[in-house]
Amino acid sequence: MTPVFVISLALIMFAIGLFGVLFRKNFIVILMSLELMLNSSNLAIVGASQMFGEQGVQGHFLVLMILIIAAVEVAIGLAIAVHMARTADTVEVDSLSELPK
Amino acid sequence: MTEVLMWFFALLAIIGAFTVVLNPNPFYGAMGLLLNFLSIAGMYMLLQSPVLSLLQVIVYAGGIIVFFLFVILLLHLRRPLADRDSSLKGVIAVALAVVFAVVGVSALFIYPMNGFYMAYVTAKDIGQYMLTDGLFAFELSSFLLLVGVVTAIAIVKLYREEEK
Repeated sequence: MTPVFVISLALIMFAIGLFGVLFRKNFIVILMSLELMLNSSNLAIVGASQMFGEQGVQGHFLVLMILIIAAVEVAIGLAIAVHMARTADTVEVDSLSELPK
Repeated sequence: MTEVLMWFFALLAIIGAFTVVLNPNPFYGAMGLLLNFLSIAGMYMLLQSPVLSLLQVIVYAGGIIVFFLFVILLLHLRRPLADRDSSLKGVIAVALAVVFAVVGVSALFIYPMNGFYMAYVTAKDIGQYMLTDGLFAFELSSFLLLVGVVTAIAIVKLYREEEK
């Protein structure tokens, strides 16, 4: 178990989440991919902070803050998804453009 | 033992992540996200941080996944979601993700990194840091939660007002 392994795993998960955000059109799946990216950044922070022994507590605190930010982001994002489904009857982001093509 | 568990959790995390981005059904995507969160909780346990592991299970696997499932089942959109970009955009997305992963992972090998110097971080340590040095960020995060609740309610109320 090395830091390189943990941070590589986090980078690969971040890349998969980035791919999901760019590739999918379903708004809920885009939010889930964003969660994946935030989660992988958490893993990278914990892996990096465990290289510094007792001082790594700062990293764990930072992970707690990111946890709170992720919860707020999901709450607002899903509220937007519910509003989108009520007004436009779809959650696909491409079908929401109102400018003529 | 640690080596076996570490590869096991890493493999499960990657499988879950691919399920999220590739499965056309958002419900199975949420299940893949659950698998990913649980295996990341296992990685935290291997990294000697049981507090974050338990918080990951409670907040992510217990709270956020249920939140996603509520919304997916509440909306129950009948139209089948053919929402994959198979055109040029998909190729560009794959290329960007691969470039990001390759550049990031190879950057890790340029400079030699320290090995782990692990500390067993308990809730007491995190709580002490939170209420001394991190007090300002802690208070601001409570304010952020309040703003999030108010914003979510305001967005949902928007529809009712348009209807009248």
